[in-house]
Amino acid sequence: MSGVARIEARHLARSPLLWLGFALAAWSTALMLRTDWPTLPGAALAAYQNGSLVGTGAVWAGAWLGLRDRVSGAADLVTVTPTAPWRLWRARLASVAAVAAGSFGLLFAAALGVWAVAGGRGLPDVRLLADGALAVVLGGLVGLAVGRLSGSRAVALLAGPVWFLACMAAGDPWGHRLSPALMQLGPGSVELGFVPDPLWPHLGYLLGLVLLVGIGLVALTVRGGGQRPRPLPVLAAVLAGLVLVGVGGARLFILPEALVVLGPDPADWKPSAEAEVVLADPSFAYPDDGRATSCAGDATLTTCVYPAYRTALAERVNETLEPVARLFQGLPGVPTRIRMIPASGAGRCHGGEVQVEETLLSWLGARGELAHTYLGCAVGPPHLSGLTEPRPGGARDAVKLWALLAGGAVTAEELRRASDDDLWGLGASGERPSAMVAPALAMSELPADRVRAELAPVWERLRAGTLPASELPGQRP
Amino acid sequence: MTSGAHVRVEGVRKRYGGVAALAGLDLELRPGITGLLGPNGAGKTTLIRILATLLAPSAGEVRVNGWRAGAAADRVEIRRRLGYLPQDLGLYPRFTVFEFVDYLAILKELDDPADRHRRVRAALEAVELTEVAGRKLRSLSGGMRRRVGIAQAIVADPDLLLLDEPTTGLDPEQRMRFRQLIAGLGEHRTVLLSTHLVEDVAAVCTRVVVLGQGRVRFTGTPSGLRRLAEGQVWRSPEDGAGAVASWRTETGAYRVLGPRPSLAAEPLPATVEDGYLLVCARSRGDTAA
Repeated sequence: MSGVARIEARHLARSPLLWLGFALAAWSTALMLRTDWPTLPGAALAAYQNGSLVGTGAVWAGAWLGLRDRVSGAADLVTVTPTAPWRLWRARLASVAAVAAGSFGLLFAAALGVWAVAGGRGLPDVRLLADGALAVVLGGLVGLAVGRLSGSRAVALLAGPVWFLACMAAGDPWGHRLSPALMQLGPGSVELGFVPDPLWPHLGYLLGLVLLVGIGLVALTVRGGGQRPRPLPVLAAVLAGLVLVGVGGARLFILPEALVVLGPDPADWKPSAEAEVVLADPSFAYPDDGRATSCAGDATLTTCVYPAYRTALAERVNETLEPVARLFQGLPGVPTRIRMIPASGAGRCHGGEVQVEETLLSWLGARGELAHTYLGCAVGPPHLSGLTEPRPGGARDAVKLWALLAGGAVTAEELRRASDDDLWGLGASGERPSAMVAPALAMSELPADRVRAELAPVWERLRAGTLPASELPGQRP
Repeated sequence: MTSGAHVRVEGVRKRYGGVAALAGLDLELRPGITGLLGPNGAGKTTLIRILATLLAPSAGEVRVNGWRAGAAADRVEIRRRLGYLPQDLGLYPRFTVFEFVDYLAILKELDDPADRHRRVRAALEAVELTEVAGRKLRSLSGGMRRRVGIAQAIVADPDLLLLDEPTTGLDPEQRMRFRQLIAGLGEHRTVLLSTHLVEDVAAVCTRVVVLGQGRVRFTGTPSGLRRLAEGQVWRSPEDGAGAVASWRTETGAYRVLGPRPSLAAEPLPATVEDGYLLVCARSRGDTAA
């Protein structure tokens, strides 16, 4: 029957339906490259994003194969052959599995290639390949079963989008538990980038599902055949499938819906509810996991990201923040290092270091937020009315606005308009926006060196929130 | 080389809901070509599908070389010796001619690739499709597709060959070649040829079975069928009242099948088709009675 599997595989590999999924996946990858930083996430390698698309193609290709005998009218020719139906369908399952896994492997290899060309470093987790391939194989088998059992072109056609939507059920932890490689990373997902542990239950769970779906499909075709598969191997496979699904499923079931990575040691990962308590503690800092090794910058500011983001990302972050950092160069307590961390709760300040979570740091549209995060660590947190007495007159916020002005992040005109219309919520702290904007505009009239020199003697008071705005540079006659 | 199959059909009945397609049918097939004739709805295709092990009879038994079609293990043995061309032939449109016949050859347990490919090539040559072996099936004409169907039926050198309306869609020249092919195949096989075309049966069959209303109405040789009509075929200047069949010929006279229409009528030699029409008429008469 290997001959049949070869012929089927050859035709499946030429199936436009499968390659439609592949093309969509490639398009999705390209889109991600275009809209995000010009790098691929190292651990995900686009597998999370695109497995579902290849899987959709696999569902269609499998459904086409399952339908073909009935639609073409060739079922009688196949039936009157001495080959037992279970042997034929076993060969067809093998061909679907081989082609689906191969197409995902090809996408994975292509993503690896792009990642390498883009300067990615480090070792990709090849278990993602196994996981993604298994998930896509499962899609192919489900398609085969749908095509075979429904006998309906409309149902088979719908099976693809239904599969895709099921995979894309954003925020649904059950969806994410089915397969990390099929799912979009999203809120509520288990952080997998550097948490390989849940992958093993996923692999076992998926392998078990593949076994059970395959055996179930073959079992449905046995009727009417003169031959039966030997019961012992089938029983062994069913048992293995049940054990894998049971153990993997149980392991996945007891996983919390979201794990927050609070350190390189898995013992430090906590469910989100517990992690919130830890993250709320201002003294918490993410330990150095030694992973952010791609660095760019100088003594003023150095940015370090995970190697897969390559130094280009570090350079671009530095380009954004370095003009702001330079304004405060030499002042005590000003951060000189930005480090990428996997944990949420962005913008932790720790020992001259700003820790920024991976998703925020790699998002091109978050440059403004990055600057605010950096300034929060450099100058101090925003003034909160009523929490600090005496009221400092918004001096820290004024200095931050000046830094944004002097660093070129905003123009004076934008700042005046924001002040007049309170566009940025400047009045949220209880101060009039003009009380912050006016000193900032006044400081911007002075050379940056002079502002820095005049800030130096009052710097500690400014960071402590006890400096009134009237003592800022340019405010005294 | 195959030696043919011995097929025995005993008391076979088949009902579709309240309709009896076969109403207690006994038949025996031996090596040689047997033509299966009958009007639409006579049960020809139902019989062929039962012999092909695609349908189970409602009652009765089919044996091929002693194997019972109703027993699962025996059914596999029957299928190992079976070649089948269905009336509604379905092919995989994206496959090439060679691939499709090769695919079915694998399912027919021709496991050795070299031998199998040799047989596929021989089958394609037999139906004169060698030139288009690399073409996709969807690009073939109806006649060519029919020949692909015949090629897959003969590729494993079957003992029993069941052909359901094999000449449908073939032009006269192709039908002539098909007759030559079938005549050669029937030398060492048991061939059952179901058809509406009496001339095909007359040309190549050694035996003929006529079905009517789900029963065997005639079994014998084509010449035996022809002889049934001897003395009942006339050339007459006038249409025959109460005739089985009557039609006007190019000379203006009528060809009448049935009792002598008039004293002016002259006897004509009977054909196999005359015999067939007579059997069908009697079958209808029996049912009406």
